[in-house]
Amino acid sequence: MEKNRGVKVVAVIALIVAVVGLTIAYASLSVTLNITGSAKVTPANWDVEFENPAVDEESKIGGADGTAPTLEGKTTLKDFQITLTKPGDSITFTFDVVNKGDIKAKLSTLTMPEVSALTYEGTALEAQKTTDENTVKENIEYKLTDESGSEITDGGTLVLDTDSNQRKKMKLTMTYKSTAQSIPSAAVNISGLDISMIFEQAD
Amino acid sequence: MKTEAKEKEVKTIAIIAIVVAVVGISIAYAAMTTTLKITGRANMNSANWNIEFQSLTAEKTGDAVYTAPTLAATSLSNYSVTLTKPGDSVTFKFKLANTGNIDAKLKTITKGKPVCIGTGESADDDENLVCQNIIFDFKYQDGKPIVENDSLNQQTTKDVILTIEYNNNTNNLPKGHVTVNGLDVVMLYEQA
Repeated sequence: MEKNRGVKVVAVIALIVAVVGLTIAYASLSVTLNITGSAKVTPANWDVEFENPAVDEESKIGGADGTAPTLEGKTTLKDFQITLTKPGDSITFTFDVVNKGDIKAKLSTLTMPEVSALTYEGTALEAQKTTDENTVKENIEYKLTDESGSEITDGGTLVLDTDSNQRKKMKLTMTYKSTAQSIPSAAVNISGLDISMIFEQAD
Repeated sequence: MKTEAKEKEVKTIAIIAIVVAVVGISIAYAAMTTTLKITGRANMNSANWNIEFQSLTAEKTGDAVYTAPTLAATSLSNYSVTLTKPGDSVTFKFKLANTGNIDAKLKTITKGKPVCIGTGESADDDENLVCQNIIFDFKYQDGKPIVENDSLNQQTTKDVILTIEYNNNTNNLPKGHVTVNGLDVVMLYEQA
């Protein structure tokens, strides 16, 4: 028993010495890993614009008449004029929205003022002026649609691609309701018919 | 006279006893002397220390264009990426491999900071814009960050991804070309 313990003690000491020797040999190992590179940002072309504003002559109903908006720069259609005279009168302007860039676009926000928010300026004498303004306000309507007549909506459903499906023809139609029971006694000018469309990058 | 004889006898007995004891002890020690021998062999297997990159693949989104880096054992060098619009990205996927028989740990990791160089009249604005919107990300494929003291045990690999992206949440692009340097990573592994 004593003999075996002595043998074991010597054997353990010898092993410890050997292990310590091996450990000292490994302590210096290390390696460096390198990743190198660069990037470039070459901006894609973003270009969404109006084209071809016009009066749709075939859409005129009754005594309606008007002047198509003019194109200012690429992104503004301004100063259209509409004249309506009696219930049922209607006129339509057409124009194109085109994606001429390299980035797919979607209509994210469409702002069209409510009829009640437009500005009405009657030309009748004071007492009648307000009545005329209210009459027109109650009976005028306008809408923005695509070529098929579906109303334009925002929220990303209208998408303009960069190759096919780049162009969307739109129609702006203003009507004096055919169901109207009265008309103003004098002319009423309507202003504030400002529509804005915000296009953003589509996914 | 009688007493002296007795004392002598005691002494003699004592001496004999001591001698006997000494001889007895000596005999006992002699019997417990043994030569211990340890015999056998030791093999010094050369330890293999090897940490390297492996298995490079690449993916892109949008209209991004890339040249994959050149893969050598301890370097992935000279990748290039071109981005054109928000959301464009390139992702390089590869493995950190410990093919040796010594456990390793990541001692230091240094990820570079993008340096943007614009061109043309709006160079300064373009540089600021791109450096605010370029995303340079390096992490494990499971999404966890790569940090110091991470282990890479012998005969194991870890999947990592390196991504360069133009921020998808911006509506702004530079007016001109912008080069982005400083997109480098240096990792020092040592024995665990």
